[in-house]
Amino acid sequence: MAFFWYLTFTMLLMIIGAPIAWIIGRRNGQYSGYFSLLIMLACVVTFGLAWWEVITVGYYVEGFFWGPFAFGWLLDGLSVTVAGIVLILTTAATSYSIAYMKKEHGKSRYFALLLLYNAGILGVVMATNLFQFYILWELMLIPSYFLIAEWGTKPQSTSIALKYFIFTHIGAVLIIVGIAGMWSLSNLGGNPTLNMSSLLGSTIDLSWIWPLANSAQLLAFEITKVIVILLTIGFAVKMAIFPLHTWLPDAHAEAPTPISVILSGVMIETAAYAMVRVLMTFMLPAYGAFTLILMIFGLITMLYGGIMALAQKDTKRLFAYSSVSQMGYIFFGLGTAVLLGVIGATFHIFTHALGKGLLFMVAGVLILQIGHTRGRDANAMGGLAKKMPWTATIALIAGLSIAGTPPLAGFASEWIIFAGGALGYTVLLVMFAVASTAITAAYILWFFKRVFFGTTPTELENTTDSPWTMRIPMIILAALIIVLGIWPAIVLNPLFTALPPLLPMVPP
Amino acid sequence: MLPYAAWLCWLFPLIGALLTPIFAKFHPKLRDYGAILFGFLGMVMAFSMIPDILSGAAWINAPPMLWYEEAIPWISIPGFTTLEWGVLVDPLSVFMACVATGVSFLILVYSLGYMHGDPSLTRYWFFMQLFVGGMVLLVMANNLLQTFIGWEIVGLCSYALIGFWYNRPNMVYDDQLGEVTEGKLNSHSGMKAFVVTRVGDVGLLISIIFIFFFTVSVGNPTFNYQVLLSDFAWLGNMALFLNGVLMFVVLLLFFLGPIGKSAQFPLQFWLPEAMAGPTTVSALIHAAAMVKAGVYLIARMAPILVEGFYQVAVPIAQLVLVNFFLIIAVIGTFTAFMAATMALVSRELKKVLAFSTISQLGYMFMAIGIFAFTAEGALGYTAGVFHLAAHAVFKALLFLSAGAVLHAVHSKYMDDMGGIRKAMPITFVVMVIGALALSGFPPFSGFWSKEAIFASAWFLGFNLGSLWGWIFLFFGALTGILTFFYSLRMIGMTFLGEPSKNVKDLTAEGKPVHEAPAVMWVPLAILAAATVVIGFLEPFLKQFFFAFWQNTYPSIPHAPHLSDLLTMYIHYFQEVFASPTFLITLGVLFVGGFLGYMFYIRRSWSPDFVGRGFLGRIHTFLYNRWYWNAAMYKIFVSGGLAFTRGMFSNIEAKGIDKFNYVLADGAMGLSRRWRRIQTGVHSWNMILLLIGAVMFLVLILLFQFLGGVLLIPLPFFP
Repeated sequence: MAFFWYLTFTMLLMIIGAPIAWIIGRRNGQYSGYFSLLIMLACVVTFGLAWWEVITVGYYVEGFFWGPFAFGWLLDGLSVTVAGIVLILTTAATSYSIAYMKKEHGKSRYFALLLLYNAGILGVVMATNLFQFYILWELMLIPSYFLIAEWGTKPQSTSIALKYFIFTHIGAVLIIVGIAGMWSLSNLGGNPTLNMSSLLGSTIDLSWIWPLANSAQLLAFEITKVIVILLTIGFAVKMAIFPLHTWLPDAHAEAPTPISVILSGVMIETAAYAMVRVLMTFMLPAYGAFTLILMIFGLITMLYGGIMALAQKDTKRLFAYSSVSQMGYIFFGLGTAVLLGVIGATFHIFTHALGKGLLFMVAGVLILQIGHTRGRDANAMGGLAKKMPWTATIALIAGLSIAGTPPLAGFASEWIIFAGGALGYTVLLVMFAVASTAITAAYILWFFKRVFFGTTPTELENTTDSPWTMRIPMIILAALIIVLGIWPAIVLNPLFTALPPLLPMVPP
Repeated sequence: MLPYAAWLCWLFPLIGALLTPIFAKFHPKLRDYGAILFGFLGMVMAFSMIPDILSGAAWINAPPMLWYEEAIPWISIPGFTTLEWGVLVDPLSVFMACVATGVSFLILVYSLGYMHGDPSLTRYWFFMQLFVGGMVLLVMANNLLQTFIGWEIVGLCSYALIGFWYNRPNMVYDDQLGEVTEGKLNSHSGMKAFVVTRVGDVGLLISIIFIFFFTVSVGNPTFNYQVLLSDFAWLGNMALFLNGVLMFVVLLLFFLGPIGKSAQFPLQFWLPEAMAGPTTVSALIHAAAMVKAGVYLIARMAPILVEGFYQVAVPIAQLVLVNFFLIIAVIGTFTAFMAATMALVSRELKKVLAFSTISQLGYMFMAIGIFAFTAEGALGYTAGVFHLAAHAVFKALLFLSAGAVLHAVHSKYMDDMGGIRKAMPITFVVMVIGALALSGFPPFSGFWSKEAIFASAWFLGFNLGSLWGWIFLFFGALTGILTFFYSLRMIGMTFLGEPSKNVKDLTAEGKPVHEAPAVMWVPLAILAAATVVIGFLEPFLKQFFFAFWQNTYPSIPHAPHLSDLLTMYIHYFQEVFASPTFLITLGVLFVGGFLGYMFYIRRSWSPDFVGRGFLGRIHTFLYNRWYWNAAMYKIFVSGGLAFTRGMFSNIEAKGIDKFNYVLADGAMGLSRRWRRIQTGVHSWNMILLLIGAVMFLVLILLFQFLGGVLLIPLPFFP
């Protein structure tokens, strides 16, 4: 085991780095940008050391006691995958912010909040205690509220940030009620705790959930059903599942683009992660009662989001609806309650983060190089493939990955989700789910055609490609998409080893 | 076989693709010749597998070496299965790999001259090699999933290459004749190709996943072809679901993939627009790579399914399979006829070839569809597969010579050509050879394969007394007549007759029509020679496939193989020249040839008699491609976009999102009203306090009566 608190150090770096970044940037905001990037790179290093422990040992955990309250950080095959992509994408977005936010006001505050936001997302994924999980869940929400409100598109950004806050907060309230319910259940089992590993022990050792034996246990089972409903709705708000999705297109489209990258790329996926980590791990029997409903809502979301994306001409709004659609895939995969489907959904967290993060970065490049109104209107652009070849190539790679084209990463995760759906004996749903990939291809290619092909408007003759601080993170992410598409086992193998013990009752 | 040839034959083009941008940094010449080199290496690897397949000279007496595969683990799912990344070496895959790499190598060489001086050559070479690599990967793959990956790489490259000149307009010739449904730009055509084939791919992916699901249901999860073949429990299990309906749906969805990729009805309408790209790309798509993938996949799966037909003793499964193959044959026949009628009236040289490709692919599907029905119908399978190879060669030849013509006259319309035979003698000769092969003129390759296709239809109709056989034969023959007619029309309008205004203008401008450079005509000559030679390989191939089948697909009935080469050939020629279908083929050639000769070679009759009446209306109908393209656009593009916009404004904006704001406004209103109780009047406050106290008391009393059932003693956190 480690003698150095890698993960605590990682989290502290970001949390303590935030006020320092603010102080450093008082005179010149650009410094706080470079400082934040340094912090994030340091975090990548310390996290990488912890990752190495996971590779060699299989898991990595740090625990603390605060009175009777045990909390800490856990990396296993599941959380290391999600935390890895969180860190990759937030670092890329931080680097990207430096150029993107160059001409904005209040950069020192921006980067301080950004660091806190990154810390919140990373912490949610690694939390070992449900109460800690909830606190970090809110830490994720609050900085992003300010980031959207202050640096989003004026003048509607404040009201949109409020909408985002209220929606997500209602979800969070449902989650805390659900967590409280779980605590009382564990109390019923004789071992009151919110520590996830103890909870896991109590659910497996005390077989009071299944099979049912007496009326108290029946009551407990009914309570777990209520908890499942609460938590599912709470997480579904974050994942923007139809019909709770309307906050997402607004927030993701009007946020400053690096924040959109993080919002769409990793933040909404933390809810998908939490569904595996909290919901499926602890309450599978009750969860199993709802799987068909979850799949149907996932299916509606993926089709609805795709159809909505086809109707958009604002690039960022198009990508936002595409995120809604992709969350539908993940929800569908989780709803299958089959190992293959869940693993596919978890892997899709990774691949969607890469693809959608990149697409938002492309949208940001267009905004930066063309201007805020014109650079977002897909119909007003055209013929940019010649002007910005790097951006066009990267957009094509990312878009086709989202559309599930082999040999890119998106295909690897999508077919596993679909196969999981088939193994869950949902014939008709799988057919519609696969059909929605054609809609995805249509809106991605149509976007591509409108922006990058055709005749260049005369005003855009002098457009140039992105600056290097933006381009380098994009190239790295695009390369990851290709590598993972050809050899998905890099990410899949940890998942395949980690998930079966975590979900012992899930059929393969 | 050279070491690792089965891997390297697709890895070389892929590596070449990856190296292209690096080579381009050094020198453009290195990049160009590097691409040729990697294409050549891939071809060498593919051809080096032939001796293995023949496995010495013993195959005629003893059955040949069966097949073998090499695989490495790709994704391992503990306790479930390990998905492999592997290659399957068997006659079909090697045959296809040789056709694909060989023809595409010649196309790459030809590109050296044809694409010379294009500013985006790095992109061109990258995607061309990726295209070839994807195709050979598809062919050599030992499992369905890997085939699908190659399949999509091919689709992606077609998108990139059809739209290669992405900012170049792609206008239709005559907008008086109907709606302009074609895109304004080449990139639109590429997008159309990708999205339309993607619709087919969706069906294919669903079907692959269901096949996987049924292999899981019998406890043997796999995508592997040979494992699917080794135990047909999955097929039987599938037939039991929903009384065979599910099996029928799954098979039809499987066929949807090839329908899209190989441009069959009802998804045939992307292919004519795919002519927007460079001619070399068209040649690659039509001859070596893309559209052949669909035929290959059906040729790969058909024997497995037919073997399943005999091994699975479930009547409903057999019924479903028979109907499935019937649908393949019907769609193939209909598409063959439909596309041939479109080719009759096309004005663009490359579009005539595009329609003829659709038509010839229809023949292949017809033959493979017939294969399932008769013992002799096994002939249909070899005929279909052989027609694939023959078509690959002569269609590459036709496209590349058309490219030479286009290069010289700077126009894609046949009205702008004419009378250039003297100026381009080599191109003329090779193109005539290609056109004759296309029409099935003996002794060129098309004759042997087309005669065999007719023969299989004849067997179905005559020997089995099936009405379908006569229908296939009738439409096959009719299509044959049309084929020879439009081939002669193409040759006549392009090379013969009076020079057109465009040709005269070019001469006047000092840019007279000239012969193509050697780097372009040498590949043409090689292909022309292959067109003559390859026809005589058919009996060999047929016998070889039958011998192979005896081991691999023991239940499929087929003609016994013969003892030695000479007997085989004698028997074959006797069979061909004594059969009624030989006479049918000759009759077809005579009728089509006579009409074509009179109209377009000798020009005794004028095609102007069509006029404006009923025939004119038919002409318009055909010229607009049976209005299928326009209908598809109306329904799925304009209609679809209108639908999504309507959904957005009516459901999303006015419905769901509106509801949120109604909720918010309601809450605001409530709070505004609620605020009114905060009057600041002391007596009011006291009254409310009293009400609160009473309610609290009531609550306590309630809990007293309930007896603390709901109150669980709560110990301390954690």
